[in-house]
Amino acid sequence: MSDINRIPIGPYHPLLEEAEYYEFEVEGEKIKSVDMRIGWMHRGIEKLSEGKHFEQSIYLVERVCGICSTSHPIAFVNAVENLAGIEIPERAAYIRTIIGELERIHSHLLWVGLAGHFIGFDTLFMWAWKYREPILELFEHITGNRNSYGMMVIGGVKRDIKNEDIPGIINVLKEVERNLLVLKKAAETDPVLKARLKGIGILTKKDAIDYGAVGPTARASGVAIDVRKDDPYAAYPWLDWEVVVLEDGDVYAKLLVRVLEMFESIKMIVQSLEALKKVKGPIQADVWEIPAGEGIGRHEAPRGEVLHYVRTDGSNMTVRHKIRAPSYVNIPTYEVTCPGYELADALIITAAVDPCYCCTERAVVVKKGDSVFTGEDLIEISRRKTEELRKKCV
Amino acid sequence: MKPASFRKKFAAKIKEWKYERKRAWALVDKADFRQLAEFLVKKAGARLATATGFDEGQSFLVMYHFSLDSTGDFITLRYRIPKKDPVGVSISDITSAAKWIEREMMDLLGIEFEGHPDKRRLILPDDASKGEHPLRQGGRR
Repeated sequence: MSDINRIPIGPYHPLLEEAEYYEFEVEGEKIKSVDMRIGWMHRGIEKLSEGKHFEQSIYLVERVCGICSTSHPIAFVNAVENLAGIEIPERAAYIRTIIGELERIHSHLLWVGLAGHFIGFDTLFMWAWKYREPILELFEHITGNRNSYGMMVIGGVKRDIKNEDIPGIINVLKEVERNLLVLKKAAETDPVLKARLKGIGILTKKDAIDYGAVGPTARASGVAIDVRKDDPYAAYPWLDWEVVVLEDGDVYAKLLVRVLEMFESIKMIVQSLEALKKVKGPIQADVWEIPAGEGIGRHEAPRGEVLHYVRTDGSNMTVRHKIRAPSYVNIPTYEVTCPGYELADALIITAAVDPCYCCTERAVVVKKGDSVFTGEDLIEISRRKTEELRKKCV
Repeated sequence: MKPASFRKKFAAKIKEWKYERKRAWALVDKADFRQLAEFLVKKAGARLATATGFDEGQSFLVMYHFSLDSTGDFITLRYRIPKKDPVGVSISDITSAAKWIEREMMDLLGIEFEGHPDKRRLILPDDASKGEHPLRQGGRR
């Protein structure tokens, strides 16, 4: 008789933004099925937002996620502006785009680093995070904060970018682009990385559509959706850029989509900065009363579409505020991407949609009541597999 | 597909319609909802972005937000159910994107979804008392 084990992973590890619980059913090394549970970190933000006025809600939703902290404020102000029909000034639109795209670069680099760490490429991890540092410094320079920038306000942005700072920012971005080229070359040519990630955790186009996957997870599976192109907002419709879409659906495609997207982001930021030199005017529209009504706002966050639904009754507060983060639709795809692969691949498959995966630190296999396996072991077997491949490739 | 052509096709079934700034809001009967949702997902290429419930006091407004990614429009299909008998219809067999969000609504609003294959709790802890639904108005905070 075959020996089927259940491996529970999680749930508590409040280091990053999510705590989840995964239960893998494995037969030997092969994953048979996966079950997920969430809810440990549910903070009731939707409920908290009822009874806060709009300006306060922006601060609240900025704290939904610590990594892509400007995604939720952009989606929320988009929702309120959609509801009230507010047009933002041109200069504010460019600044919103710059903040959103800078965030994508830092978030993708963070992911590249973590993914590298999980599969035993610690040099990649350190490089990626080193390249990320100048972006955070730019944020500090532009917004005053390395994270949770507090830039969004209904009708515009809070702080202007000084025109005399623009050449300096572009210089930093050129430096970042040079570094990214090294990363891109490594991702495209390293035989071990390819052997480790190609053909692993494939999400088919059909499944991606069925699960409603968004962001790089969907675009790596050939689903060409991107809010920035489909439902343009801020300055995105005025810029020249491409949506990166790949067909393979495996972890390698997800890596490449993210790496290539960073170049598009730099293109967009540089164009926006050049435009800022010419565009004068205010950075906030005059906003008076927010009427009773409903609006949907969204933003293409680094992980995919963030959606906010806002319902108002004519007062200065929301009566219903629904928030849908991208991981909420991307994580359920594990049901189809994990089965059939080895346990050593589970880590990188689940990490490929870019959720918070620090939960794995607590992985424990329980066999006949005894703990025989920890999260460190899971990282260890993932890294060991890479080592074996490395020996074969050299 | 444009929201206007959707409206034309199902004019008899849509009781209220509003279209403003690329967002369409359509009120339908609960009995018709599944057919319309199935058309949107299978024929019109819509993606279920998420769903929401709203406590209106005596009734719930259940809303499914479908994104038409080719045009950038949203169609929100919604129906009303009485609070005394809060039973909705599940569309998780039509699109897997509905699985989690319907479980979430079961937890937070206490709406039962007929036909959902997995009615375990998603958000609330296992030991939360029965009948406790945080997003209901006037409920325990």
